Amino acid sequence: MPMWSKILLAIFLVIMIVKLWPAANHMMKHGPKGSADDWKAALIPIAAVVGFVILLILMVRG
Amino acid sequence: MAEREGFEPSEGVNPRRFSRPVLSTAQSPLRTAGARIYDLPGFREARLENRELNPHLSLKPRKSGIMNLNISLKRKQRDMNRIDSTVVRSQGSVISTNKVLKNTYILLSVTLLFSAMMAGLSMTMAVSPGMSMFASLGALALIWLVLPRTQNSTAGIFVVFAITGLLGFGLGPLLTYQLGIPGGARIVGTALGGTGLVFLGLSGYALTSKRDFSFMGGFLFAGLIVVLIAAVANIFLAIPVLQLTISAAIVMLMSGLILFDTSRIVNGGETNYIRATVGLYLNLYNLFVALLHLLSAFSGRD
Repeated sequence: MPMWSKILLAIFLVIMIVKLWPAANHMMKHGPKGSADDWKAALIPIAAVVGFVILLILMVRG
Repeated sequence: MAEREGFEPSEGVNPRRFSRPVLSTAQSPLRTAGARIYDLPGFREARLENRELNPHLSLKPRKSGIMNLNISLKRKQRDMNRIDSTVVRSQGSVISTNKVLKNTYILLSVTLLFSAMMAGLSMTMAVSPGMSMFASLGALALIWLVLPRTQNSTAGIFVVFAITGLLGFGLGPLLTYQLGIPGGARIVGTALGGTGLVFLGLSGYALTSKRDFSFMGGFLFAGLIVVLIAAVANIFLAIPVLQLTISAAIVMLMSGLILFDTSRIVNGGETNYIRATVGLYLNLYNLFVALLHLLSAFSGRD
């Protein structure tokens, strides 16, 4: 990738970070807090996705 | 003795006396709009009396220990009116949520097809990586600058098609490269199928469980910022392990965002189907690209 396109891409990503930062800050300070059960209910399907991706990787390696 | 508490339970399961004449025919459950409140979130604890408790009889207070329901006709009428008005409001919000959900998924399906067509067009035209980058950045500019102004009008639908078309067009060189390596078609197909299954599974879970995943918002957005910072660094450092870590993190973050966005629609937090469609599309797009990168890297053919 030529240097100018790397710089352009980096600028866009920094703009994205700058736009997301206030929203992320606000949500972390004032957003709803989940209980242990809520986090369990969210992390279990994400863990299942991770397992599924590992399975896909094993499939393409084979 | 019968009037004192003792062998009779103070709260009877069946509050009617045996001597009270039972209605001769089985009465159908009270199927007013109120009965449907059992299905509405937040109203599952509501109790409806069925018609076996004859509304025309006023139960007199009894001195026995059996719980009695001294509900007058007026009080019951008042309760029913309150339930009905509440049900009408809740029913309205459920209908509205279902409408947003339906419109979101219809628009998402059509835009995914359009995006795939544009990706095919990009591959056919053998678009350069530079052109594809401009297409992707153009889509980002549309999301930031144009979509907020048009998301509440019909023009927003055209903007959504423009966004998804440009992002699909930008995928052309990546797909051309992947299909060019041995076994690449299998990798692309696996990534596509895997993305679809992950999306269907997580969406189905969010829709059926009806849980509120809004508590994840702060964590997900913070994670996105960390990943973006790492991505900026890796543009110049070009460390393969870091790139793989970024892709793995994107898979997990996009999975979380699918749960987050879907639950926002289900629980009424998102009422604009155009915005919801773009959100879900971006989750799918990023998930596909990250998964493609992981599969390609670990297949050993990259």
